[in-house]
Amino acid sequence: MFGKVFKYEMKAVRRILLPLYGAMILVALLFGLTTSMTTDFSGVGEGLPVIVDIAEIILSMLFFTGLTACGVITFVVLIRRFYSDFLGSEGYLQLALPVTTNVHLAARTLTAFLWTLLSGVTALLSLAVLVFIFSFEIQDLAGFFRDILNAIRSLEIPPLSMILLLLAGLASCLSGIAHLYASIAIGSLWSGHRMIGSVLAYIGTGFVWSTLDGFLGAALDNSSDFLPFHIAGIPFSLEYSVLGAMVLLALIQFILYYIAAWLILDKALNLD
Amino acid sequence: MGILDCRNLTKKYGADTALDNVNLELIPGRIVGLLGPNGSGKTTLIKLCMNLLKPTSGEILIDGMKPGPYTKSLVSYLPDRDILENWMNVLQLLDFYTDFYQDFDAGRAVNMLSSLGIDERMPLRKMSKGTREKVQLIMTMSRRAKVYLLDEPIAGVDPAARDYILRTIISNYDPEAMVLISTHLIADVESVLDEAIFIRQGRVDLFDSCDSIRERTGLTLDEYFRRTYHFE
Repeated sequence: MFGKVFKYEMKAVRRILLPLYGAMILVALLFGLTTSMTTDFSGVGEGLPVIVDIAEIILSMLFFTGLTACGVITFVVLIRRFYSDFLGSEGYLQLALPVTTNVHLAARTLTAFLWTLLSGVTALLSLAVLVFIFSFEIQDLAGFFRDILNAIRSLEIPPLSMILLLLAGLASCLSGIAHLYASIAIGSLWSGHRMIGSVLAYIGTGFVWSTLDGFLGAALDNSSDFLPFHIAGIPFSLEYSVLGAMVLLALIQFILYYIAAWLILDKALNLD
Repeated sequence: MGILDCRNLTKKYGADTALDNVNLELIPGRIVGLLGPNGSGKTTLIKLCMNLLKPTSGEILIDGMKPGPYTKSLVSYLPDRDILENWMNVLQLLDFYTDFYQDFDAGRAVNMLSSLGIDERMPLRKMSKGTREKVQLIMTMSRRAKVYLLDEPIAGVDPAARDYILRTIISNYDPEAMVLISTHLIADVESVLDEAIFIRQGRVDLFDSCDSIRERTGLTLDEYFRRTYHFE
């Protein structure tokens, strides 16, 4: 059943987000092309129709607002979908399915995770398209990627740190999604004021967690023995330990929020 | 044990009691009317059966099990509101029901849709309210379920549509199944009911066969309802 719920969730969201991401990359492409045209000719000064300048201005605005909009719209679509699936009219269809609450929640978490990643990939791809058009000849695609790799290598970040950073980012993304879902679940307990309840729950749980984070951070500063990697006796540097702790904390946060959302939606949800 | 049992079932919303110590045993092969004025607890009872609400105390058993994924696979539910996903068209909705319900008879659904001239490729968001209601009913009645829970299926539709809906219910439910129809429009459903549950302020006033009620009171169900529940 997980696969079926996941399939329909992906379909429901895809029809809004895929065209948005496609449009974002197209805007980046057009913005890059118009800018490179005006840049090429600006030295000469004349010869280009005014319409190209106007298009460049409009596309630049579209590009920079689009980058933000991609993230915001993804965020809004995913929250709205979850809210209406569990608390709106669609809940009468979704929650009447012969499916456990855990499957409902897990499928939606995975869907949100993938679309959040895809929105990040779209933003990076849009920037890459722009940089590519601005800085390189079209034929030099391999050189472009070689330069990026060289630039990353020049930072001299150890591979393990990069992997841990990536894992920390992914775990934070998961915990962020679970945080939203848990907040909506907690808000559902406040019948009649569910929306405001969800917002307050989000702020409240966020505050509690950041306070805990603060204490943990202080503990890390004061005692390197606290770090699990040191306890395990693995000779990692402090940098690895801090990154490892970040991954671990984000995963713990994810698990706690997920369990809270599951318990409330399974045991206490009353669909008005 | 019936196919649907309520035991000391109570549901409270804060200080308000929506259902108060309800005990029922509904057996298969019957069409049962859940009859009562607005706000009497009909929808609450059905939502409790679907696990969309949690009881304050007492329990519901469907085929001997508490509401959950298993019981939902046995129950075909028509809510009292529009629940269709706007992004789908009818074909996608047919796929959706086929994917999730093993007892869904897509052929039966297609026949009913075509008899009404509903275009299967039309997006649901473009359909009129009445057409959406019919699609919803067709999907519900195209399952070969053990239990049908129909919450106000004829409220808010014109008399011609009421006839169609009742005809659809009668001609499509499995004779071995139990059909529970919640409504306050008793005259319209009386002819199809085997049993009636009269409910008021969350309490079951009367649960008996329709013939027995008519014999005992000398009234039709509609007349009985009007006399018993009239406002002073």
